[in-house]
Amino acid sequence: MKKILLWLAMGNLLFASVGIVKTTTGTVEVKRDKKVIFLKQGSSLENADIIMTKSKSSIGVIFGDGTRISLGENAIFVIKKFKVDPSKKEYDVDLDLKQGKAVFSSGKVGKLAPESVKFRIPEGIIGIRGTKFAVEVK
Amino acid sequence: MFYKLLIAVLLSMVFVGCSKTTVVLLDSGKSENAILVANEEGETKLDQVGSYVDIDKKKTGKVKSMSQDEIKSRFSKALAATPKEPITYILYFEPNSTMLTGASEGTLKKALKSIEERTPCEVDIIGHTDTIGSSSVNVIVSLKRAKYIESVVRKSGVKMLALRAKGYGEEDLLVQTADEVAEAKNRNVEIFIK
Repeated sequence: MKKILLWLAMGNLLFASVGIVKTTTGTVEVKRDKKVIFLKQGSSLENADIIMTKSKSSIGVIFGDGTRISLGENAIFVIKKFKVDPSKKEYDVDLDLKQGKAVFSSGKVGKLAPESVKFRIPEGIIGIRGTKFAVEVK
Repeated sequence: MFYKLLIAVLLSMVFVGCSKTTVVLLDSGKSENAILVANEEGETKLDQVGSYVDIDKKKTGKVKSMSQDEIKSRFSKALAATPKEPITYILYFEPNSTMLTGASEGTLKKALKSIEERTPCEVDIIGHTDTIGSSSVNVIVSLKRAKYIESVVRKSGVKMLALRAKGYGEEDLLVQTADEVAEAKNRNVEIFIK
Protein backbone atom coordinates (compact mmCIF):
# COMPACT_ATOMS: atom_id res chain seq x y z
CA MET A 1 0.00 0.00 0.00
CA LYS A 2 2.78 2.39 0.94
CA LYS A 3 4.50 1.66 -2.36
CA ILE A 4 1.34 2.46 -4.25
CA LEU A 5 0.94 5.76 -2.41
CA LEU A 6 4.54 6.68 -3.12
CA TRP A 7 4.06 5.83 -6.77
CA LEU A 8 0.93 7.97 -6.91
CA ALA A 9 2.74 10.88 -5.26
CA MET A 10 5.58 10.62 -7.76
CA GLY A 11 3.13 10.42 -10.59
CA ASN A 12 1.64 13.67 -9.41
CA LEU A 13 5.04 15.32 -9.46
CA LEU A 14 5.96 13.99 -12.88
CA PHE A 15 2.68 14.77 -14.57
CA ALA A 16 1.50 17.78 -12.62
CA SER A 17 -1.63 19.19 -14.19
CA VAL A 18 -1.63 22.99 -14.25
CA GLY A 19 -5.05 23.42 -15.79
CA ILE A 20 -7.90 21.83 -17.70
CA VAL A 21 -9.69 22.35 -20.98
CA LYS A 22 -13.24 23.66 -20.45
CA THR A 23 -14.38 24.23 -24.03
CA THR A 24 -13.25 23.41 -27.55
CA THR A 25 -14.64 23.87 -31.02
CA GLY A 26 -13.13 22.38 -34.18
CA THR A 27 -9.66 20.83 -33.87
CA VAL A 28 -7.26 21.71 -31.08
CA GLU A 29 -3.96 19.92 -30.48
CA VAL A 30 -1.22 20.05 -27.89
CA LYS A 31 2.44 19.34 -28.56
CA ARG A 32 3.88 17.63 -25.50
CA ASP A 33 7.24 15.79 -25.36
CA LYS A 34 7.44 15.62 -29.15
CA LYS A 35 4.00 14.00 -29.31
CA VAL A 36 0.90 15.69 -30.68
CA ILE A 37 -2.34 14.94 -28.81
CA PHE A 38 -5.89 16.12 -29.52
CA LEU A 39 -7.42 18.22 -26.75
CA LYS A 40 -11.04 17.87 -25.66
CA GLN A 41 -13.21 19.09 -22.81
CA GLY A 42 -11.72 17.83 -19.53
CA SER A 43 -8.17 17.26 -20.87
CA SER A 44 -5.34 18.16 -18.48
CA LEU A 45 -2.66 20.68 -19.38
CA GLU A 46 0.96 20.68 -18.24
CA ASN A 47 3.92 23.00 -18.12
CA ALA A 48 5.71 23.27 -21.48
CA ASP A 49 2.54 22.39 -23.42
CA ILE A 50 2.19 24.06 -26.82
CA ILE A 51 -1.48 24.49 -27.69
CA MET A 52 -2.40 24.86 -31.37
CA THR A 53 -5.83 25.65 -32.77
CA LYS A 54 -6.68 24.91 -36.40
CA SER A 55 -8.85 27.11 -38.60
CA LYS A 56 -12.46 27.51 -37.42
CA SER A 57 -11.37 26.20 -34.01
CA SER A 58 -11.12 27.58 -30.49
CA ILE A 59 -10.30 26.53 -26.95
CA GLY A 60 -11.06 27.74 -23.42
CA VAL A 61 -8.73 26.79 -20.57
CA ILE A 62 -8.87 27.30 -16.81
CA PHE A 63 -5.74 27.14 -14.67
CA GLY A 64 -5.41 26.06 -11.04
CA ASP A 65 -5.86 29.53 -9.56
CA GLY A 66 -8.88 30.33 -11.76
CA THR A 67 -6.94 32.20 -14.46
CA ARG A 68 -8.67 31.74 -17.80
CA ILE A 69 -7.31 31.79 -21.34
CA SER A 70 -9.22 31.36 -24.54
CA LEU A 71 -7.79 31.17 -28.04
CA GLY A 72 -9.38 31.80 -31.41
CA GLU A 73 -8.48 30.03 -34.63
CA ASN A 74 -4.92 29.43 -35.91
CA ALA A 75 -3.39 30.28 -32.57
CA ILE A 76 -0.16 28.98 -31.05
CA PHE A 77 0.13 29.36 -27.30
CA VAL A 78 2.83 28.05 -24.96
CA ILE A 79 2.37 27.36 -21.24
CA LYS A 80 6.01 27.98 -20.36
CA LYS A 81 5.23 27.81 -16.66
CA PHE A 82 2.19 28.05 -14.47
CA LYS A 83 2.92 27.96 -10.76
CA VAL A 84 0.57 29.58 -8.26
CA ASP A 85 1.02 28.12 -4.77
CA PRO A 86 -0.15 30.51 -2.03
CA SER A 87 0.63 27.96 0.73
CA LYS A 88 4.33 28.29 -0.17
CA LYS A 89 4.07 31.84 -1.55
CA GLU A 90 5.43 30.59 -4.88
CA TYR A 91 4.23 32.44 -7.95
CA ASP A 92 5.56 32.16 -11.48
CA VAL A 93 3.27 32.49 -14.47
CA ASP A 94 4.94 32.59 -17.87
CA LEU A 95 2.73 32.34 -20.94
CA ASP A 96 3.60 32.96 -24.58
CA LEU A 97 1.20 33.76 -27.42
CA LYS A 98 3.11 33.10 -30.63
CA GLN A 99 0.24 33.61 -33.04
CA GLY A 100 -3.49 34.29 -33.15
CA LYS A 101 -6.03 35.89 -30.83
CA ALA A 102 -6.42 35.31 -27.11
CA VAL A 103 -8.51 36.55 -24.23
CA PHE A 104 -6.90 36.44 -20.79
CA SER A 105 -8.59 36.85 -17.42
CA SER A 106 -6.49 36.52 -14.29
CA GLY A 107 -7.45 34.38 -11.31
CA LYS A 108 -6.12 34.48 -7.75
CA VAL A 109 -2.61 35.35 -8.95
CA GLY A 110 -3.94 38.71 -10.11
CA LYS A 111 -4.82 39.54 -6.52
CA LEU A 112 -1.93 37.78 -4.73
CA ALA A 113 1.08 38.33 -7.00
CA PRO A 114 0.21 40.22 -10.20
CA GLU A 115 3.88 41.15 -10.76
CA SER A 116 4.70 37.44 -11.21
CA VAL A 117 2.62 37.18 -14.39
CA LYS A 118 4.39 37.39 -17.73
CA PHE A 119 2.32 37.16 -20.88
CA ARG A 120 4.72 37.13 -23.79
CA ILE A 121 3.96 38.34 -27.29
CA PRO A 122 6.46 38.44 -30.16
CA GLU A 123 7.06 42.15 -29.64
CA GLY A 124 7.45 42.14 -25.89
CA ILE A 125 5.75 41.27 -22.61
CA ILE A 126 2.39 42.14 -21.09
CA GLY A 127 2.32 42.52 -17.32
CA ILE A 128 -0.61 42.77 -14.95
CA ARG A 129 -0.76 45.68 -12.57
CA GLY A 130 -3.27 47.31 -10.38
CA THR A 131 -5.19 44.85 -8.28
CA LYS A 132 -2.87 44.28 -5.37
CA PHE A 133 -1.60 47.81 -5.57
CA ALA A 134 -5.11 49.22 -5.40
CA VAL A 135 -5.88 47.24 -2.26
CA GLU A 136 -2.86 48.82 -0.59
CA VAL A 137 -3.97 52.31 -1.56
CA LYS A 138 -7.33 51.76 0.16
CA MET B 1 -18.09 39.53 -1.56
CA PHE B 2 -16.37 36.38 -2.82
CA TYR B 3 -15.81 37.93 -6.21
CA LYS B 4 -13.07 39.99 -4.60
CA LEU B 5 -11.03 36.82 -4.40
CA LEU B 6 -10.86 36.71 -8.13
CA ILE B 7 -9.39 39.43 -10.13
CA ALA B 8 -9.84 41.23 -12.89
CA VAL B 9 -7.69 41.81 -15.87
CA LEU B 10 -8.74 40.83 -19.30
CA LEU B 11 -6.86 41.54 -22.43
CA SER B 12 -6.78 40.34 -25.90
CA MET B 13 -4.61 40.59 -28.91
CA VAL B 14 -4.44 40.01 -32.57
CA PHE B 15 -1.76 40.02 -35.19
CA VAL B 16 -2.46 42.26 -38.10
CA GLY B 17 -0.14 41.78 -41.06
CA CYS B 18 3.34 40.66 -40.05
CA SER B 19 4.53 40.83 -36.49
CA LYS B 20 2.29 43.53 -35.14
CA THR B 21 0.21 43.00 -32.06
CA THR B 22 -2.85 44.74 -30.69
CA VAL B 23 -3.46 44.60 -26.98
CA VAL B 24 -6.84 45.70 -25.61
CA LEU B 25 -7.97 46.03 -22.03
CA LEU B 26 -11.42 44.49 -21.60
CA ASP B 27 -14.07 45.11 -18.99
CA SER B 28 -13.43 42.84 -16.01
CA GLY B 29 -16.35 44.15 -13.98
CA LYS B 30 -13.89 45.37 -11.32
CA SER B 31 -12.36 48.74 -10.69
CA GLU B 32 -8.77 47.52 -10.30
CA ASN B 33 -7.87 46.66 -13.83
CA ALA B 34 -4.63 47.60 -15.55
CA ILE B 35 -1.93 46.11 -17.73
CA LEU B 36 1.54 47.16 -18.81
CA VAL B 37 2.66 46.42 -22.34
CA ALA B 38 6.45 46.43 -22.60
CA ASN B 39 8.75 46.23 -25.60
CA GLU B 40 12.32 47.39 -26.33
CA GLU B 41 11.10 50.97 -26.44
CA GLY B 42 9.54 51.02 -23.00
CA GLU B 43 6.27 50.42 -21.18
CA THR B 44 2.75 51.52 -21.98
CA LYS B 45 0.02 51.38 -19.36
CA LEU B 46 -3.55 50.54 -20.28
CA ASP B 47 -6.04 51.22 -17.51
CA GLN B 48 -9.26 52.25 -19.28
CA VAL B 49 -11.69 49.65 -20.56
CA GLY B 50 -11.39 49.47 -24.34
CA SER B 51 -8.03 51.22 -24.45
CA TYR B 52 -5.55 49.55 -26.78
CA VAL B 53 -2.12 49.80 -28.38
CA ASP B 54 -0.67 48.45 -31.61
CA ILE B 55 2.94 47.49 -31.12
CA ASP B 56 5.86 46.09 -33.06
CA LYS B 57 9.33 45.32 -31.72
CA LYS B 58 10.70 48.85 -31.79
CA LYS B 59 7.63 51.03 -31.76
CA THR B 60 4.53 51.31 -29.64
CA GLY B 61 1.61 53.23 -31.09
CA LYS B 62 -0.42 55.77 -29.18
CA VAL B 63 -3.05 54.51 -26.76
CA LYS B 64 -6.40 54.57 -28.53
CA SER B 65 -9.90 53.46 -27.68
CA MET B 66 -11.70 50.50 -29.26
CA SER B 67 -15.50 50.36 -29.26
CA GLN B 68 -17.30 47.41 -27.67
CA ASP B 69 -18.68 46.49 -31.09
CA GLU B 70 -15.22 46.34 -32.63
CA ILE B 71 -13.89 44.27 -29.70
CA LYS B 72 -16.80 41.85 -30.13
CA SER B 73 -16.24 41.45 -33.86
CA ARG B 74 -12.42 41.23 -33.77
CA PHE B 75 -12.26 38.79 -30.87
CA SER B 76 -15.58 36.98 -31.32
CA LYS B 77 -14.19 33.41 -31.42
CA ALA B 78 -11.85 33.83 -28.46
CA LEU B 79 -14.53 35.64 -26.45
CA ALA B 80 -17.05 32.89 -27.16
CA ALA B 81 -14.55 30.25 -25.97
CA THR B 82 -13.83 31.97 -22.64
CA PRO B 83 -14.69 29.63 -19.76
CA LYS B 84 -17.05 30.83 -17.07
CA GLU B 85 -15.55 32.55 -14.04
CA PRO B 86 -14.81 30.11 -11.20
CA ILE B 87 -17.43 29.96 -8.45
CA THR B 88 -16.48 30.51 -4.82
CA TYR B 89 -18.44 29.46 -1.74
CA ILE B 90 -17.27 30.43 1.74
CA LEU B 91 -17.97 28.18 4.74
CA TYR B 92 -17.72 29.25 8.38
CA PHE B 93 -17.38 27.12 11.50
CA GLU B 94 -18.85 27.37 14.99
CA PRO B 95 -16.23 28.84 17.36
CA ASN B 96 -13.52 26.29 18.33
CA SER B 97 -15.27 23.53 16.45
CA THR B 98 -15.28 21.59 13.19
CA MET B 99 -19.08 22.05 13.06
CA LEU B 100 -20.26 24.27 10.24
CA THR B 101 -22.60 27.10 11.14
CA GLY B 102 -26.22 26.57 10.17
CA ALA B 103 -25.97 29.01 7.28
CA SER B 104 -22.81 27.31 6.01
CA GLU B 105 -24.55 23.91 5.96
CA GLY B 106 -26.90 25.47 3.40
CA THR B 107 -23.96 27.00 1.50
CA LEU B 108 -22.30 23.58 1.30
CA LYS B 109 -25.45 22.09 -0.28
CA LYS B 110 -25.48 24.90 -2.84
CA ALA B 111 -21.80 24.29 -3.59
CA LEU B 112 -22.40 20.58 -4.27
CA LYS B 113 -25.17 21.52 -6.69
CA SER B 114 -22.85 24.00 -8.45
CA ILE B 115 -20.18 21.32 -8.83
CA GLU B 116 -22.71 19.08 -10.59
CA GLU B 117 -23.74 21.91 -12.89
CA ARG B 118 -20.13 22.82 -13.74
CA THR B 119 -19.05 19.31 -14.65
CA PRO B 120 -16.43 18.53 -15.91
CA CYS B 121 -14.70 20.65 -13.29
CA GLU B 122 -11.88 20.69 -10.79
CA VAL B 123 -12.60 21.68 -7.20
CA ASP B 124 -10.19 23.09 -4.62
CA ILE B 125 -11.11 23.09 -0.95
CA ILE B 126 -9.02 25.94 0.44
CA GLY B 127 -8.56 26.65 4.13
CA HIS B 128 -7.93 30.23 5.27
CA THR B 129 -7.02 31.77 8.63
CA ASP B 130 -6.79 35.28 10.01
CA THR B 131 -3.39 36.86 10.67
CA ILE B 132 -3.08 35.85 14.34
CA GLY B 133 -0.04 33.60 14.93
CA SER B 134 2.79 32.48 12.68
CA SER B 135 2.06 32.17 9.00
CA SER B 136 3.59 28.66 8.77
CA VAL B 137 1.38 27.37 11.61
CA ASN B 138 -1.62 29.00 9.96
CA VAL B 139 -0.93 27.08 6.75
CA ILE B 140 -1.14 23.82 8.72
CA VAL B 141 -4.28 24.86 10.65
CA SER B 142 -6.04 25.95 7.46
CA LEU B 143 -5.12 22.72 5.66
CA LYS B 144 -6.66 20.69 8.51
CA ARG B 145 -10.00 22.48 8.16
CA ALA B 146 -9.85 22.12 4.40
CA LYS B 147 -9.21 18.36 4.65
CA TYR B 148 -12.29 17.97 6.82
CA ILE B 149 -14.49 19.67 4.23
CA GLU B 150 -12.75 17.74 1.45
CA SER B 151 -13.81 14.47 3.12
CA VAL B 152 -17.41 15.70 3.36
CA VAL B 153 -17.43 16.68 -0.34
CA ARG B 154 -15.84 13.36 -1.33
CA LYS B 155 -18.48 11.40 0.60
CA SER B 156 -21.24 13.26 -1.21
CA GLY B 157 -20.42 11.23 -4.33
CA VAL B 158 -20.61 14.25 -6.65
CA LYS B 159 -18.38 13.66 -9.68
CA MET B 160 -15.37 15.88 -10.35
CA LEU B 161 -12.20 15.72 -12.44
CA ALA B 162 -10.15 16.46 -9.33
CA LEU B 163 -10.72 17.38 -5.69
CA ARG B 164 -7.82 18.86 -3.71
CA ALA B 165 -7.51 20.22 -0.18
CA LYS B 166 -5.18 23.19 0.24
CA GLY B 167 -4.14 25.40 3.14
CA TYR B 168 -3.41 29.00 2.21
CA GLY B 169 -3.09 30.17 5.85
CA GLU B 170 -3.07 33.97 5.92
CA GLU B 171 -1.83 34.45 2.35
CA ASP B 172 -5.21 35.02 0.65
CA LEU B 173 -7.37 37.03 3.08
CA LEU B 174 -11.06 37.58 2.40
CA VAL B 175 -10.93 40.78 4.49
CA GLN B 176 -7.62 42.64 4.24
CA THR B 177 -6.12 43.28 7.70
CA ALA B 178 -2.72 44.04 9.19
CA ASP B 179 -0.72 41.20 10.77
CA GLU B 180 -1.90 39.84 14.15
CA VAL B 181 -5.53 40.91 13.71
CA ALA B 182 -8.38 38.59 14.79
CA GLU B 183 -11.02 38.56 12.05
CA ALA B 184 -13.72 35.87 12.15
CA LYS B 185 -14.52 36.29 8.44
CA ASN B 186 -10.97 35.30 7.53
CA ARG B 187 -11.25 31.95 9.34
CA ASN B 188 -13.05 30.03 6.66
CA VAL B 189 -12.93 27.26 4.12
CA GLU B 190 -13.45 28.20 0.51
CA ILE B 191 -14.92 25.88 -2.09
CA PHE B 192 -13.37 26.96 -5.38
CA ILE B 193 -15.11 25.44 -8.40
CA LYS B 194 -13.34 25.73 -11.76
